[in-house]
Amino acid sequence: MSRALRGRLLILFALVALVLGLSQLRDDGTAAQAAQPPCGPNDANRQTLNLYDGSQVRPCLSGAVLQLNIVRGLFQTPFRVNKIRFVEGPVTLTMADGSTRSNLYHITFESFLIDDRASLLVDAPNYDLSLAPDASSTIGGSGVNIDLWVTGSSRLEVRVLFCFGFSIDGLSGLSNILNGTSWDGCSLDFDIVFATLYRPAGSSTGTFPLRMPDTTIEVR
Amino acid sequence: MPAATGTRWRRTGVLMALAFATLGSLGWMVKTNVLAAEIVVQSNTAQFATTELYGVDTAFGMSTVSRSTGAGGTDTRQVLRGGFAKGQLDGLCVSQKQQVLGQTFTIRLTAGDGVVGTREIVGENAMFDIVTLRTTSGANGKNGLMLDGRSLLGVASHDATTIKGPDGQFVENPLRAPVGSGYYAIDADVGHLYNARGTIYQGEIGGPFSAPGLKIDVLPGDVGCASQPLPR
Repeated sequence: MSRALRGRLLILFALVALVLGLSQLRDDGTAAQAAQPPCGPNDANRQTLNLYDGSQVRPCLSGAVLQLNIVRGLFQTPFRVNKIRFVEGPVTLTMADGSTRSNLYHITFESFLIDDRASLLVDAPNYDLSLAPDASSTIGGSGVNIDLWVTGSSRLEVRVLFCFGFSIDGLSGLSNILNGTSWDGCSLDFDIVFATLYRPAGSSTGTFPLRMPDTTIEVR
Repeated sequence: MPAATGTRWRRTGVLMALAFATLGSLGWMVKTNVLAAEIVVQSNTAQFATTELYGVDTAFGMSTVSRSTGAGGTDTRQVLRGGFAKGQLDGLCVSQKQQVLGQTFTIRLTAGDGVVGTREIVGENAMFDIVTLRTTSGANGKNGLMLDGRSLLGVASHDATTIKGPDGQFVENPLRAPVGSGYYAIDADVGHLYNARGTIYQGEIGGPFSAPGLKIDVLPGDVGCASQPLPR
């Protein structure tokens, strides 16, 4: 095939590809009216959750767990948690498919500052969803509540001169002493079943309680 | 007699006229703000970039997409489906690489007013199937992924909400995700991405869409959005 013919065929195919590609465009001017799937039969699997500020949410829980992992550095303080509170636990929550997950603890923070050693991963049977910030991230802030439902086996190490490790179900027994305290942390390994970030009723946007700069999101 | 060389404009003119007619109608629909579009990427990923994306009633939820594998075959791919009820963008680039007869070329769609900080592109009921997404610092001095308002992390994808119906109630399962457990989603009042680049399988804009400066190029070589400055 001569070079000239090859060039003309290339232009021809490019134009055909463009026209065929554009022909995929269709006018769909009205918003889609999707089916209305309940959360289980008669919406029976929808979970009512009472938040720390007294409000309620009623999500259909995915059942997939968000793993928040912060590895220990040599001398650095990779995270700080402000005003931790143990609200309730252990509790059992219902997932969208009707299965249950027990030994969960409802804890809250005011804010949570994490450095670039944090990683967030949803490790599900048929996919991995990772969120990897490579700069310090802020979750929460003054006036913002962060409510988490984590497994009792979730662990954190706090720095009191040295690093001391605890499981959440172990710490919950000290809630009368720990509620309202703030810590620097050495490492953290949380399995988060559900989380909500919000300002108390009466105000809504403007504070961006989740801020993750230089973040890579990947589905594998 | 020497062989003929050069482009046969009469032969290609028919197809060019068809292509330009399509582009013309596309431009008319954009100008009159009535365009709603579904951009379907058949089998390969496309590149995506924007200097800023501001979405109201935003959800990011795991879902599945069927893609063509050729010869009538399909497979299923897990994707992170990002959707918003109302969105504004500061610049937009979508591109896809093609191989024909051993030659590489790129189809590249760009839009924007060329000014950083103006969210000139407006759309409603939009969704993108994300494989990778990266936010970095840019000319606007901003950087990252931010969520505002009330954010819920861990809802089932089919329970995430974006658009509302005529009755003012949230339409259920706007992400068209599989019903049941296992599909993780984040649901937020507002989602804000700065200086974002990524790869997507498909994009859909179900409502009115206005994109000043909309341009479609067919370019030789691999010159997708990833190789270009962030659109603005």
